[in-house]
Amino acid sequence: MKCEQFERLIALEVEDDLPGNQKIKLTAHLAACGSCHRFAEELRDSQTALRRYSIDDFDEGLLAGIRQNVLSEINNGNIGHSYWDHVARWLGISDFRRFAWAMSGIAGVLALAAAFGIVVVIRSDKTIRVTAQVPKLEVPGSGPVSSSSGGGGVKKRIRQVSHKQSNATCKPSTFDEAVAVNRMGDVDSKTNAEGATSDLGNSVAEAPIIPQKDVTRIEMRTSNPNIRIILLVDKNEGKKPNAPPAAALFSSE
Amino acid sequence: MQTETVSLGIIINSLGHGADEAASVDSIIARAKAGDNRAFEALMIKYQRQVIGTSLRLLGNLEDARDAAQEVFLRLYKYLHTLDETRQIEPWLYRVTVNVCRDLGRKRAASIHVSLEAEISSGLSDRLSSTTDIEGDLALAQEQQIIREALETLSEKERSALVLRDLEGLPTEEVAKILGSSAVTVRSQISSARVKIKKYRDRILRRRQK
Repeated sequence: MKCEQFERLIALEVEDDLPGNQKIKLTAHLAACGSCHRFAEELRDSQTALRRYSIDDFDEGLLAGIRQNVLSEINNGNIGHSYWDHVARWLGISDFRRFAWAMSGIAGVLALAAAFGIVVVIRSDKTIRVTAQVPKLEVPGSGPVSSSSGGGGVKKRIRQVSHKQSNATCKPSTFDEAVAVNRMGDVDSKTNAEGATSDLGNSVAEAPIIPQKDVTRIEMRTSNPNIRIILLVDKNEGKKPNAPPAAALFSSE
Repeated sequence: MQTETVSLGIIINSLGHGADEAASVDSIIARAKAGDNRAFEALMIKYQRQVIGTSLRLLGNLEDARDAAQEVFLRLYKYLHTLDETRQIEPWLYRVTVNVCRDLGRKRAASIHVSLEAEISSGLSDRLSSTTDIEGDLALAQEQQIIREALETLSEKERSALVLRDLEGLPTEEVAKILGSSAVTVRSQISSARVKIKKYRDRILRRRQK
């Protein structure tokens, strides 16, 4: 530690303001350093001169003039309690300004928190994803239908049907037309083809033509946008115990 | 008028010593809070020397010190209702005095400081007429002039800390509370201020010896 740094410690020590541990260090240095020892003596003289700088002897006229000026300001009503002073007093607060700043700060923090919460809610992903499991449909005469290769074959046929039907009607909407489509899917069916076909054949042969008004059309979309499932349910199905429900797989292409 | 003077005298005389004094000050503050202007005047009489003395040491100019003292007492009147009667009023007065002097000092940064010398001289002339120690009084006046000039070389914070600690005699912790800083900071400011005062004084005295 250099002598210049010890000067600050000496300045505290002359008025007994130096903490204990630093006092020990300084005392050891002063014992060894003549320059700092002289500095300490000179600083004590300076402090003595400083303490003699006391101006307590004031003219009574000066003091009376100060009191008079203050009291005349008070009597003139220039120094009064503002509205906020009364509010502060009513609230039991000593400093209304500080209270107002504190309340403003709290209000600001709450406003920021509310804004942040609103932003979080708005930006949250509200998309609801629903995954529908498409059951495998067993179309009479064509075996289980899925969206794989079998479906592709069906699609082609459906396209043909659609093309054929486009001249006549928009979509197959009767039970009869749906059965006609199913019949065309016989070639690609792998499983239970014969049985299904025979069933279909039997069912087709025996199935009567049902008027449109008696058919309930249920259209279901699948995860594949190109595949829709349309169920045509005979409203009179319950009345005919052996009538099989018919289902058709239609492509939107 | 005579009745009012007597009443004021009774109030002032009721300011006794020690515990009695504290109780007296509390009762005067309570009366002043209730709107008794005579009680408020008694408060001013009790603390006016403290306020104007501190203001003069901080500002170095009697005119500014008078304005500062008036402002301090006006603030005392305005915020009297906020004061806690169980606590001493002196620290509050010191804090307000320092703040008022700081604000006034900044407004009048270019004020001329020779008026204090004139005040000291005028006061000195009165003393010279009543004393035979002319040389001693002159030396004292010169020394006080040097100290006043040295105080002006300090920063605002250093000067406030030094005046409160060395001239008003307040403990370091209380000075820290009044100035709104820590005891460590106040010690640093005081240390720096004392070294500057000492070095300024040495420089002037060496110049005068030449």
